[in-house]
Amino acid sequence: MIKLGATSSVKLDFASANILIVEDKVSEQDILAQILMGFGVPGIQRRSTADEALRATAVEAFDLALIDASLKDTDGYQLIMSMRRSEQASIKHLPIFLLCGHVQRPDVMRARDCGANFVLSKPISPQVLFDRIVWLARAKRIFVESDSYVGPDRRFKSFGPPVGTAGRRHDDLSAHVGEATGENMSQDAIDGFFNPSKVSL
Amino acid sequence: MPATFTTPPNNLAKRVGSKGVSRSSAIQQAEANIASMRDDGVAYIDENLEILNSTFLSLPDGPADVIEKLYEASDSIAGTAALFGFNSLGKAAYSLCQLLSYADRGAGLNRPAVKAHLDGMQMLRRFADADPAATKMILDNLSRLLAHLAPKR
Repeated sequence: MIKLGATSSVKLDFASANILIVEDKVSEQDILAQILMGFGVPGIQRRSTADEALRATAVEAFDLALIDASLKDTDGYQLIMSMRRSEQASIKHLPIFLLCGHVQRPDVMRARDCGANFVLSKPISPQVLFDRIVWLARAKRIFVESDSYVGPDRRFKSFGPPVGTAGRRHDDLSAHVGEATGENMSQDAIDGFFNPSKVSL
Repeated sequence: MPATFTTPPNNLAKRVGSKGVSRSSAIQQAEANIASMRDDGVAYIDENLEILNSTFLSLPDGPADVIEKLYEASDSIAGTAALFGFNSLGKAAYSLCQLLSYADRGAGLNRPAVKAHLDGMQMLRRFADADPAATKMILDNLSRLLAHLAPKR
């Protein structure tokens, strides 16, 4: 597991930070903005749609993006996938928190697979946001680009490169990971992998 | 294309350390900022409760659109209520989101169960967690109802 460390003694120097909020509900934008202002962030850009967010990131560099999963035009998952596929490094590598209200396991899997750094479940408390920012700042996750996925390494436990490939070292962990220890996945969770679309009610 | 692995610069790392605002000060200031917008927050919760109630009454007109609207309003309450002192209301709203998500999995929309949630949420809005026994009873009942209606696997 990644050792993220204690956050109680650290300080945030956000004096010149620029943070993007992408949320279609103005009241919820306000809440996030108030929390960030409490952290001393002077530059807070608010956007309501995925399209506006993409245009903002194309012309301005951000330190962090908070993106809601439910947007009116394109949902937050699709927006993050578009950003990760950007030719512009400042967009592609931008640290992103995906914010979810009613979140279920398939949503978390989908968030992980779209390239978000972390998923935050609403309501977002100042404590949680502060700690996740510190975690993100300290995390040393490599960035993966492949045909099917672009984003931070989804593995939280490193087993080293695959067996038989260049770069595998003597101290990498065994390829044998043993039997599964968790419960079998529910049908909902399995469906979430194969049909990761927004639930239409 | 073969997968590539890189380590892009982490700009956030430069902002975390021994300079700037401490965790306790940052959280204290953020909480004060949220408290200062409590009236707006409560109005937002009430606005969404009103959407829930008025939308529920129009259910026969167009179930799919209506359920989506119910879900959005409930999701908004679930995502904000606890920040303004309505922890139990937030939990009940989350339960309603769960119930509405069942409708998409073949369970159909259970109107009495939605009504029970709306009634419970109205009471929790009034109590604002001030009556622990009543709050617990409402949440326990909603929890049992939800468990009973969960689609069978």
